[in-house]
Order: sequence, then structure tokens, then C-alpha cells
Amino acid sequence: MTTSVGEIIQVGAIFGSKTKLRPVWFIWRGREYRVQKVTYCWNEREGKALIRHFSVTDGVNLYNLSYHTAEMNWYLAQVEDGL
Amino acid sequence: MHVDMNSFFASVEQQCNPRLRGKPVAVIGSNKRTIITTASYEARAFGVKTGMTVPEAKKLCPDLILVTGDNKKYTDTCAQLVSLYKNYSPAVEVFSVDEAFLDITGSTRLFGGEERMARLIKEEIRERLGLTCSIGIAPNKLLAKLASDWQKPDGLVIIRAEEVITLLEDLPAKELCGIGPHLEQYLAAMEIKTCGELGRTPSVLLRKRFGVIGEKLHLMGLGIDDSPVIPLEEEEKIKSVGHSMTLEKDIWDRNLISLHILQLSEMVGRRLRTYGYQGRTVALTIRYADFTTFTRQRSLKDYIAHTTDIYQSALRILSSIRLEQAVRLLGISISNLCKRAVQLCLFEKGKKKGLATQAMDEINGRYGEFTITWGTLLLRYHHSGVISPSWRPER
Repeated sequence: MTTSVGEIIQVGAIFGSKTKLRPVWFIWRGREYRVQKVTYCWNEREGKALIRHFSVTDGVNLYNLSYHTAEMNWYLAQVEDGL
Repeated sequence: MHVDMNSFFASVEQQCNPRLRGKPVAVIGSNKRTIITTASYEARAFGVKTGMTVPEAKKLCPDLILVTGDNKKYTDTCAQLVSLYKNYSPAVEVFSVDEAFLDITGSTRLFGGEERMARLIKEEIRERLGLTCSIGIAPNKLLAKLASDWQKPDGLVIIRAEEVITLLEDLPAKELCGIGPHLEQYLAAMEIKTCGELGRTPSVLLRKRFGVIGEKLHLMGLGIDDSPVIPLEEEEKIKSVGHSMTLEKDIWDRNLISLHILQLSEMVGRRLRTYGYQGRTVALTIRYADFTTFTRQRSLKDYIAHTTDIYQSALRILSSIRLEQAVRLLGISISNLCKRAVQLCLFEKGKKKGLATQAMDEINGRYGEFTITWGTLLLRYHHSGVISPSWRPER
């Protein structure tokens, strides 16, 4: 089941030369989640701002994380139960 | 070379969500009355097809998993693919969001021949995006597109020049891109069913029946197509801008219909102004509940680009129509375009309208569409839209 969340979260991410930006862990509602795999990523424009989307899994559920480059905020957009 | 992504939207969703891999998946729109946009190959095995309603598809495949499509995900993936293709050829033509032509004439030697080049492209797409494609290679675009259709999914077909006549001899003419069901019927009435028969029919007869396209049909039957691959940077200017929406429920109420027309006018106006164009012909498309569809248009004396002018024109068209049924779908388009020059308005009212539109466009351009909008649209239908056939990745 997919649940829309839309909350600002804390994310630990790696900036690199090959994969420019990769989330590694995030904290949501006091609990830490380790990103096991980034399954897909894509960009979106909202006005002039670039939003980088990441579909990630912790091995249990699927999460849609978004990095809003203008606000410099990470959002947890959606959670899908069960993998 | 023609590259055709396999079951594109569904494949992207299966990449995003590993739970969907190997399962029958169908991508649908966000509207309650949506249809199947794409089906995964697992779903196609049950007979699920693009264009089916959800109940029809579920009847064929009760375990079908429905995923609401995300056009931004697909258009960005297309942009990534185009960027990848450009590593192999500078001449890349985006035919649609999931198809592209590459002119590889000058670059095959750099990659060890056309077959190796195609395999490198397939491998890179699989590695970077986890997606598969079917590639067709042939002496021209018409045949390359035909070739890519012959092996799906994950196919690679090469048609060599010396094979063309033999391959086309008994091939049904409808297999050629550009020959749809109506043209197929008209050709059948002339006892032309295969490409071989089409190629042997004198072009003068085909021109007599079909006009100027008769010559092209004759050449198609012979497998001849001289059209070049047109790179993104050289594409012709746009000819029209339009948007349509299927309403959540069929409506008779003209006030409600006008509200939807205002939203469509704003969407069309925004795109028109973003491209820097203005137009003179406004068209209103209406589809009734029984799917009867018609378009009425009106050409104006002056060029327009403001939302309110498009809206007023569309309303005038609506007022001339006597509705015979409830309305299921509305569409607005504007054509007869030219580049927008800055016009000095003589009247205060016109100046204010221009400044207000400019301010709204700047805010929506900076912060996102419909950040600021008309009061009556605050409770608007949140139309995610379809990917327009004229959409192209940013250059």
C-alpha cells in the first residue's frame, strides 16, 4: 500500500563523481532507516528549482525521497509497504 | 537506427519498485475514469492492452497491479536516454517519449560496426537504467522503425539494402508506419494489401486517389524513404499548442464547463507564452459521454497569447454549440502561430492585463505551475496531463 507523506526529513548522503548524489540513511519520526539500494532516480523542475527524486529501499519497504535544491531540504514523499 | 523502449512506463515503474518486477503491471492515469496507458509484458500475456478501461483489463487479468503514472519520471528518463544516444551519434531525433531515431552513418566505424554499436547502446541502457529496448537498423527511417517492431522485447534486427524488396513483398502494407486502419481500408478497396502490391501500383494511380501522399505511399511500398533524421536542435517550429482533459464525471452544467475551459486556457496560454508564441485560431474540442467527439474553431483578427483572450474565444465557441449530451472531455488548442513580439498597448486596461500576466508567469515560472492562479481555479481539477506528442527534452 502506498502512503503519501510529504515530510521534511534528515538524510545522510554521499556526493561523488560518478553517482553525483546518493542517500545513504534517513531519519523519519525518530527512527533511522538505512538505504540498502537506490532503485531509481529522476529529476523534476518546479519553476526554477530542481528536485532530485530517489526511489530507495531498506530491504523491507520502498521510499520516495526528494531533494529540493532551492530549499536545500529532503522530503519523504511516499512510503510503500512490503517488498 | 530506431530505438524503441520496451513497455516504457511500466518498465520504469518496475525498476523503481522491485516488487513489481516479473508481475503483470499496468500504468494508468490519475483520473478516476482512466484507461491503461501501458502494460508490462507480463500483463500483455493476459491480453491487457493500451487503451483498455481498467475493468476490461482486470477481467482479463485479475492479479493486474495498477500504478498511477508519473509523467515527470518518464520525461526525465527520456531526457537521460537522449543524452546517452548523443554519445553514439550527434543526429538524434526524438520521435516520441519512448522512441528515437539515430543517424549512425558517420559513427558506426567508431564503434566496430552497426551491430556492435546497437549492443553497446542496449547494454548501456540496461546498466544505467535497468530498462530494455528493441533496436532496428536499416538504410532509412521507415525500414528501421519496421525492423525494431519485429523483435520485442529486447530485440535487435538489421535490414540490409539487398534484403528490402524480398522482405516487403508479402508484408501487409499496414505494418508500415504511416498506414493506419483507414488508409489500410482504402488501399484494400484498390486491392492493395501488401507492400509489394503497393510498390507495384503506379504512383499516378495512387496520386489520383490520395492526392499528394500517393507518391509517398508508392515509395513506401518500395521501402524508399529519404526523410532525414532531424536532430532536436533543428526541429521545425511548433504548429499548435493544446491541452485536453477527461472530466471526473460527465457534465451538462455550462458554468462548470466554463471553469474547466478556464483551466485549459491557462495551461495553453502558459505554454504558448513560455515558448514565446501567439496564435490566431482557437479550437474547442468536446467529447460526449458516448465518445462522439468534435472540434469547432474560430480564427481571430489579431494574435493572442493571454489566458483571458483564449478563454473568451473558447467561450464564444461554446456559446455557439447546443450540447446534445453530457460532456466527458474538453480540449483547447491554439494554432496559426507566430513568434510573439513585444507589443505596446495603447490602453490602460490592456497594459494592466499584460503586466498582470507577466507577473503571474514569472511567479509560476519560478515556483511552479499554478502557484498563483485565478480565484475560480483554486478548487480546480488537478490535471496531471498526458505527455504531449510535441514534448521534447530541453536542449
